[in-house]
Amino acid sequence: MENNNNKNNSKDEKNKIKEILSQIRLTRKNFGWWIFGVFVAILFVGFVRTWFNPEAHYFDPILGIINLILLPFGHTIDSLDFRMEDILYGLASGAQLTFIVSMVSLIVGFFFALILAVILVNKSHLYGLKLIAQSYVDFFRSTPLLVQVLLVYYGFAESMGDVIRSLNIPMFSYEVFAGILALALNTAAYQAEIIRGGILAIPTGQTEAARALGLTSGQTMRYVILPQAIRIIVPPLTNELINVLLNSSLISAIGVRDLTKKSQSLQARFSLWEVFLISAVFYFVIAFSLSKITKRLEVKLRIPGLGVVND
Amino acid sequence: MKNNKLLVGIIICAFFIPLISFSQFATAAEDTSLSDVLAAGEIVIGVDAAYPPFEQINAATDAVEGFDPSIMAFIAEDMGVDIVWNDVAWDTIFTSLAIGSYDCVMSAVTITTDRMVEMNFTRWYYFSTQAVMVTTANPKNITVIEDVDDASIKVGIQAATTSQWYLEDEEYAADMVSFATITLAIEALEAGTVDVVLGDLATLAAGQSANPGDFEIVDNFSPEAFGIACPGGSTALVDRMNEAIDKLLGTDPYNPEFSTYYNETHELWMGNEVAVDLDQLKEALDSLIVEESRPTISGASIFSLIAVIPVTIYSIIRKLKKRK
Repeated sequence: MENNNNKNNSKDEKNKIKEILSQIRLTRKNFGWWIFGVFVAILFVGFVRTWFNPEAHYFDPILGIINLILLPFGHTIDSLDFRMEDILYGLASGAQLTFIVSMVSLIVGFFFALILAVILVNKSHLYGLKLIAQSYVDFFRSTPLLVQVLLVYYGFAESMGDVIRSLNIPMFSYEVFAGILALALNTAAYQAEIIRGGILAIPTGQTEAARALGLTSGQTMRYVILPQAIRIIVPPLTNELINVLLNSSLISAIGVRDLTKKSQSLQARFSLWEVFLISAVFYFVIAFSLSKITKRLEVKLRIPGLGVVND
Repeated sequence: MKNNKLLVGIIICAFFIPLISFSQFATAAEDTSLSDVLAAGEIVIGVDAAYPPFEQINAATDAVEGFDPSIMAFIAEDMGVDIVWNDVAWDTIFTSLAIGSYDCVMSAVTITTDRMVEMNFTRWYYFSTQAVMVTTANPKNITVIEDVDDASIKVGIQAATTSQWYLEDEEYAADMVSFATITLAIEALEAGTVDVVLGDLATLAAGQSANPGDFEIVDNFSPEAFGIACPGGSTALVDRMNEAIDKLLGTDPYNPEFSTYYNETHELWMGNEVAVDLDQLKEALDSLIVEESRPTISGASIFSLIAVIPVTIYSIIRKLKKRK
């Protein structure tokens, strides 16, 4: 009996592996994904190289590929323009910071937004917490992000400036901290509204059923409402992801050397406005690949049978 | 329809490829820089007038004054034209020069090989070094420029100046704080938000004398020659201005003979006599000579590069995907 079971299990596993393999086999249908995968693999190789060789730059393999593309035209990056290597490396390090800052602030903002949203949809007034949460969301949605960034930067300078500096972490100056905090606070307000909308989209019948089964209101929220709400809000959240990434260019105003700041400084150095064109390509590559990946996530996390599906 | 898209992609590629190959052979348009200035009877100069003692705004008359305007007055008189000063922000000053907002930039511009690619410089009219300025208390104990290689030190600089390039090229670990003008950086040093300020010696000396007893200049580095920047290709204007500067400084750039006018101007604005270290001058001028011609590409070529690669990849993917 047990033997039989084991056999069945191993057969199932074999089938599963076959199925996965058939999905990732290089075909015309997933050709673009393969190119993207190779791109990510090359970036990963670059990252691993930097661990062993501190002199190396994770951007090196990409530069090699650009050289390879230029080869049929009888050129390399160096033979085209002696400044191009400086510009590409400078922008790459800026892009790294932009990516890290926007991802960290998005994640920090998400957890903050979750708390805000749960407070906002609560029926009771929770000793004034609801008022505070609502005014927080209203404030951050009704003031420009640039002003918020400047407010956070100057507002926390006295209290946090020396603390951050004494930590002495490379790449994490007070400016970066203020930038991340401002972006996180801003995106928390928007995400709170998104999550609130997701929670309200769950029919009341679900809450009633959960309460009838004997779950407390906290349990209802945690085990019934939120798991469904999170799946509903994935499309607007991915939209917010792109928003945060592109909005992060505003933290260059407080001196964070992100992609925008780097391109400004390189433009001033070589007096070459086309640097902005290249930095736009950097932004495009990051944002476009993120939107493609999250599109996959959307399809995967969709609640079957809910809404109209046309893709 | 699908074939049409592929065709369009290939045509776009084919259109851009010659731009890459032949951009280096593009011929410059006829040089009308000097005749334009002489015909207009005035020379328009871009300046960031917040850099004493080289240029500043006179509080009473609202006119630009300083060492550079005095030198320019001599050159303009020699050329027989009037001067129009155009006070603009430093970080976009060269972009505006490139698109033709003014005839030249005279704003204590250091001649560097990077800048020589996009613009033409006159011969040098002022020579100095950069300097390191700290408060007299000097809590971080900075005595030479190499002391800046420490992550706990905050360095104040003016954004997009040679001080910033120096810090970035040497890869010093210090926390770099960039300010829009050098006066803001000096104010930050006084307020204690930065530990040290890097900048041109004369400017820092001016800041020192404006706040007597507060600051101390501890080290010099990176000798620099200042020139007047003109847009690329305006050789006629540059040659004409060089003639005028020759009357001030003598014809040999390595052995300057200072005229009385230059000496007087220098003493008026800098508060001391001209003293140029000839070895440092030779070092600075020699570093500006680029032996082999370095390759550069135009903006159109960069654009074509950016356009060619995605369009090519896209059309290949499309072809592979749609062919059945």
